[in-house]
Amino acid sequence: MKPLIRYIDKTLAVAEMEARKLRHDPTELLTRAVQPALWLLVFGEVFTQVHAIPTGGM
Amino acid sequence: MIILQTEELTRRFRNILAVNRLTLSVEQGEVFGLLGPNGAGKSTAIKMLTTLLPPTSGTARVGGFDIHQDAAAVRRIFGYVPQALSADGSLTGRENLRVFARLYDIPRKEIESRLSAALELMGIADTADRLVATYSGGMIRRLEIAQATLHHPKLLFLDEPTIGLDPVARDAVWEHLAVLRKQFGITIFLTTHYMEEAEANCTRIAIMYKGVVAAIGTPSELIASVGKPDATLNDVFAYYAGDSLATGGTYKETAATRRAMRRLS
Repeated sequence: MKPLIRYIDKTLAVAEMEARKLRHDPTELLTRAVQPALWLLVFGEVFTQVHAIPTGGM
Repeated sequence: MIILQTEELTRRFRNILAVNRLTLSVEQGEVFGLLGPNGAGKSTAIKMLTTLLPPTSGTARVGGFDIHQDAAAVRRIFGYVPQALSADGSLTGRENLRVFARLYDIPRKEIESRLSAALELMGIADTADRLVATYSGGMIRRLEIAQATLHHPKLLFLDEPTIGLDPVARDAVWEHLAVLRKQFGITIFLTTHYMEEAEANCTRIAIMYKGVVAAIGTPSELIASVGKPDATLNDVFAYYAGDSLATGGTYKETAATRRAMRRLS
């Protein structure tokens, strides 16, 4: 098997594993979504207050 | 035929010499036990042999391939059951095996037959479609062994395979390892703390202490080397690693061992 095909196949195997885990316990989707949402809320709030890094008006 | 050979294999972590000039060879078909107290360097040695940790100096060959220069070829030859949990509790036994089958590049046409054979061989076919989170410690270990041997490796590394298991589960693990050995002629290289297990199951034993091999031989040779009538392997261990109670194991190692025991109990 060529290295690229092998790489893609292994990536799909891991993706399938994660999908199966979610199928067994869909509530996991919610708990996984909470953490990035929290980061967005907390860090987003912090970074809007901080002006120490020059962003060139962005 | 020699399947594993190390030559002055050394690993240093800053000023700590974890493994010091380890030189040994293992013949095909052997059950080779690496014994020693916590912190002796057993797990570090296994990590180097399984290409997970580069050696500071020295060489090792697994199945004729150099662990440093031909790491990818070496990885195809062995199976590895680490001390930490390697099966996912959120998947069924069969699903865990299927992931490993794909990671080992087993042809798709063969996957289902390999899975069925491995589950049957390890005596967990009846529970294959249950979530691993509901398995007992012994069943998890047998599933992990099935995972590690799906690609029919020549050599199987087991890091503390029966730690945290009750005596019945430990016996079951050894029974299934014997079947595996008989069926595929697999060579087993393991670390353990249980002397009676090593005595009963290993063809040769090396006792490691403070990073060096203090003694090596068959269980009966080692027992004879103590020069004490009615000696057991426990006496051999005490003889070669006598002050291990005072020096063996760091806080981190003790915590890791207890974590593994808790997960499997």
